[in-house]
Amino acid sequence: MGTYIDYSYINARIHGLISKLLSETQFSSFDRTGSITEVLHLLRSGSYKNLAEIYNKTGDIKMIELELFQYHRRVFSNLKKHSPELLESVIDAFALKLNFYTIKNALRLWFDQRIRKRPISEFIAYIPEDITWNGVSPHQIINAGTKKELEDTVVKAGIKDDIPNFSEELETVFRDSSLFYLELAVDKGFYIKLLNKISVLGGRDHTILFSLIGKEIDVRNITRFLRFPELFTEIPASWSREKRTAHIEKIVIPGGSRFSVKDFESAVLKGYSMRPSVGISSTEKQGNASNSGSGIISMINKSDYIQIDEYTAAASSNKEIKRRNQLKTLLQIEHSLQNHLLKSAKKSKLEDPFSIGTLAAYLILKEREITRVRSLINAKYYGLKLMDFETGQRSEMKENKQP
Amino acid sequence: MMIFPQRMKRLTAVILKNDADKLTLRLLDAGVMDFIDVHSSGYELDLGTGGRILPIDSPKTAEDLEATRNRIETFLENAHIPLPQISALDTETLQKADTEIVNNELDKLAANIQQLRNSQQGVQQEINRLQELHRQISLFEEITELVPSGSYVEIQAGTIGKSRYNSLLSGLKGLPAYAHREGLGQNDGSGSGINSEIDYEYSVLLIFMKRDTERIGQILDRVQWKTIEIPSEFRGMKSKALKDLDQKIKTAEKEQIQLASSAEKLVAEKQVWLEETWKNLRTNELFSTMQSNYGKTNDTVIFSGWIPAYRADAAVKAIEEVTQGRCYLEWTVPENNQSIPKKDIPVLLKHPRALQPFQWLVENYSIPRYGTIDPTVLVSFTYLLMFGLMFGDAGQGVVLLLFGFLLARLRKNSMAKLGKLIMWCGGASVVMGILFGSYFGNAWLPPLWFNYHGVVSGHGGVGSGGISAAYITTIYDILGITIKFGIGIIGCGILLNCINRFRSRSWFHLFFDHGGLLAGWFYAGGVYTGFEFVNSGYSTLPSAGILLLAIGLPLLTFAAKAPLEFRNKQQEAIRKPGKEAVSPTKNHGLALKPTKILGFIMDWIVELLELFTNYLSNTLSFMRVAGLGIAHVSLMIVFMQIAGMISSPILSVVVLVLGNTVVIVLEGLSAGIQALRLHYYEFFSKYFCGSGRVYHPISIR
Repeated sequence: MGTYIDYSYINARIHGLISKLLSETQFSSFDRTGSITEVLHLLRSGSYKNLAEIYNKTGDIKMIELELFQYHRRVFSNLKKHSPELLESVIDAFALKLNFYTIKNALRLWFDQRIRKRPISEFIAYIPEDITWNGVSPHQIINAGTKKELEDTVVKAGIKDDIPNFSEELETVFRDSSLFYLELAVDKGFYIKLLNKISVLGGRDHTILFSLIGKEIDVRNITRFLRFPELFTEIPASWSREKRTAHIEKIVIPGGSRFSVKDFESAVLKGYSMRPSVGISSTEKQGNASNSGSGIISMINKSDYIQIDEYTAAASSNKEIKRRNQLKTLLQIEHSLQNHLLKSAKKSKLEDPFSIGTLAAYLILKEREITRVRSLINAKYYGLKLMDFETGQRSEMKENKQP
Repeated sequence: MMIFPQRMKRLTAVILKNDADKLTLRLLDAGVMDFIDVHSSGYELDLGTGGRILPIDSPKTAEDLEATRNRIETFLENAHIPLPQISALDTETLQKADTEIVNNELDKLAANIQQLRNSQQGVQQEINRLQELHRQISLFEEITELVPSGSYVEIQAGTIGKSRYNSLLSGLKGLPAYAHREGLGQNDGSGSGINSEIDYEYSVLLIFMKRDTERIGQILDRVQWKTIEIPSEFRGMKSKALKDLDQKIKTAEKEQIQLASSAEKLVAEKQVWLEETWKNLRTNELFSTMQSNYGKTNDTVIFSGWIPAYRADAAVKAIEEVTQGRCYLEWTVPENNQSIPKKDIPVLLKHPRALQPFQWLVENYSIPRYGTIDPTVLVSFTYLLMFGLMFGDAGQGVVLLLFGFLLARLRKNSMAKLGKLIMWCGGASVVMGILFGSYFGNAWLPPLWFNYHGVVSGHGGVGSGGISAAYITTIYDILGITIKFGIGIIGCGILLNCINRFRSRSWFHLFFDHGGLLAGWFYAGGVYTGFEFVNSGYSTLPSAGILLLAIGLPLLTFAAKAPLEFRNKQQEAIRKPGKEAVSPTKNHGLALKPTKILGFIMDWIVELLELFTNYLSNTLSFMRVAGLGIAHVSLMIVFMQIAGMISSPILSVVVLVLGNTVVIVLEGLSAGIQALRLHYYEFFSKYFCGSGRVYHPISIR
């Protein structure tokens, strides 16, 4: 565990960085602008001053997103420069998220061109080439030909073991023409690796980080349930226990602070005996073949995260309006969950000024800020308000089954 | 130059509704009034008849106008066009601002620019494709069918009819592919010239990404491509291919630049309209802001605000001119009306430009409350004196002067102010350097006051130069100077506080403040006692009678403070208007009990301890002036000695230059900060009444 000597400088520095984060008021004023040019102009006064220049030069919103990604990387590297050795491995662990994000994007592009037979040339440039794993760049993953070539590339990159059940999930990709479960595995792989990396810390630091990451995992799992309830509800009651357990393990990230994989499994079991009350179901199946999901809803409602009764009450006879209402409610719930996580982060920062809480809080807050800036820029590009854009995103994710 | 902020007067005016707009324009031009919102709570208007004041209806709020104006600023700044000067605003040309029309025009402009951006996006994607291909081809040793490992390109050679070559090229658009053709194929009608009826063939080298094999295959089938073995003329073409790609990338990048400047040109074409609209919006915004402070009845408009006394006549003249005498004006002078809270009166500090840096230092601490002393002029003297005592070197002072001059000329806003301050500090250093006989640490000329370097290095005293050489011989003497200086500053602070309290008729605070008369009496007594003790060789204190008179009496008098404060609270509770009178015996918090008396005694003891420790620590704090001055001299001595030990004259000079640089930066910063700290903590805390409000008239200037 670090001492006050380890933390005093870096935490003082981070407090300065936290004070420069964009506030909700600022985001509201950005959202009131009419075009992408205006919002980029407003962002010029802060940490995002490059973005306007890039857009003026290239007119390409994807180049802006690439710059945001590189900026996020620089945030980690700048922190590392000023951190004691004790914290470098922790910062590296958090930075893994960007690596896994790149792996996911590379797999998506590979999937688009190999399985969906879509042209991807215009998207490749937005995958950074300078991220490599054992000398293997994401472009090599994208350009891999056959299933064997992809697997060999992933093995050569040394990331196969980081993605749980990679080979089996790859089979599923070819069998079902869906990347969904492989992407879930990548997400899961990141959190497993992150939790392993922080286990080297001891004492209070470990407790704080474990708790925060655990909350983030809970939020991810709950969000996954809300976006894709059919993953949990369309588990046939006729499945064997082992099959059901394997399925739950595939879709739930382990390491949650409040909800473990077993908790989800128990809740799913409970759902067989409760009345159907889930909001969105892609097949709208009823009866013995499907689970109601109420067990999970009940489990979530007992926690202090969120109450999701409203989610189910999107009353309208018009299917499209009902769908949009549910997406809006989904968005509000997700925001609520995010805010819960942010509150926990801020609380951990305040509790002990000489602990890792401050660093962890900053990384979570900064990631949220960058994500919102990305969404805001896209929203303005399409002439939308931020909430409308995010609601539309949820809809698209569901259609394309993206986690 | 003012010791007190400018005198202010409050004007309340009632005019006819029809005159409101014209008068608003005139007041905007004049820019003298710091408006009070007549609808704000705490502003009580006795209408007598029981009428109501309503807000002025404004078609567009200041916020709407500001938002539209900000949009225009975005366009102008993105096109690197400077915003119009504030001085260009003109009330004569003011027109009603229709933000909807303006926003529609801006939307059109944004849409046109967006079209260019979309084109730029297309070009950028083309650049990306070319760059990817370039990277892949770079992996090759040379062009062969054999693809090197790690590369994902496919190379083919083939023949294609001349008439279908363009179809091939258009099919390859949007794909990362390189096509190069060589001359005419076997149907070229050799010898007799070209026969236009025959479809001549090109030999084409095609390089593309493996992942696009299927798509390319379809295109090749369409154009009746015939694959052949890569002919010898294509082998060895790697550098040509790379050169071609480089050329295409350069062309695309040039197109990007042209498109970007076309976007700027679109804005430039509308520059005049944008600037005029911006000015109009800004003026409308100020107009709307001003009128938002008005109140109206059916036929009249009422407004109120603060005006500097010296501009009151000009304001009256302007109002009477516009309204042609159809106005009612009421003036309130705060000096005659103690019910106006001083913190609500705006403060205008008016000083010559030369003193602006010191005004900036004062405002940085706080704005002096209206009616209290503005210490700017005093600070300009004491700050420079402190700085000079800590950094007395004429040569280094010149360097500071030059640096400050450059900073003030080359930078703007707060950096320019800092530059001016540094210039002043440099000047003070030059003066003190001459007095101490120090020129980059050397005694090139004899000192006029005393030899600071000599004293620190132990060579001071008679014969070392200066009128005080005989009296300032040791470091203790220098410490003594600074302590006396500190006593003077603190004494000055007490005096200023007494003046402030006297002017505001706060008799209680005049006597019992920590910077009040009693405290001053105690401090003077303490200083006298201290000096007597030191002068007696640290052996004897003054007589008991003198001690009682000088220290005992004021301290004993302090015992009355707590009971008097309590008494004041009781009387306030009884006097509070609109509330039922509270009997002190009924309100337990205000009842005099035995425990209260114990409390008074405790308060008194704590008060005494605070007084003693504060004054002692504040006085001793000024020793840092000597400390830093001594450190400054010591550092220079060290660098001089090091330079003296080096045999090479060039290196010696280098050491001296570096040494002086280090001293200027380190000691200059320290001296500046410590002087500021002494002012903010030891000096201002005695008398400064802050929490004032800056005078902020609504003006188009």
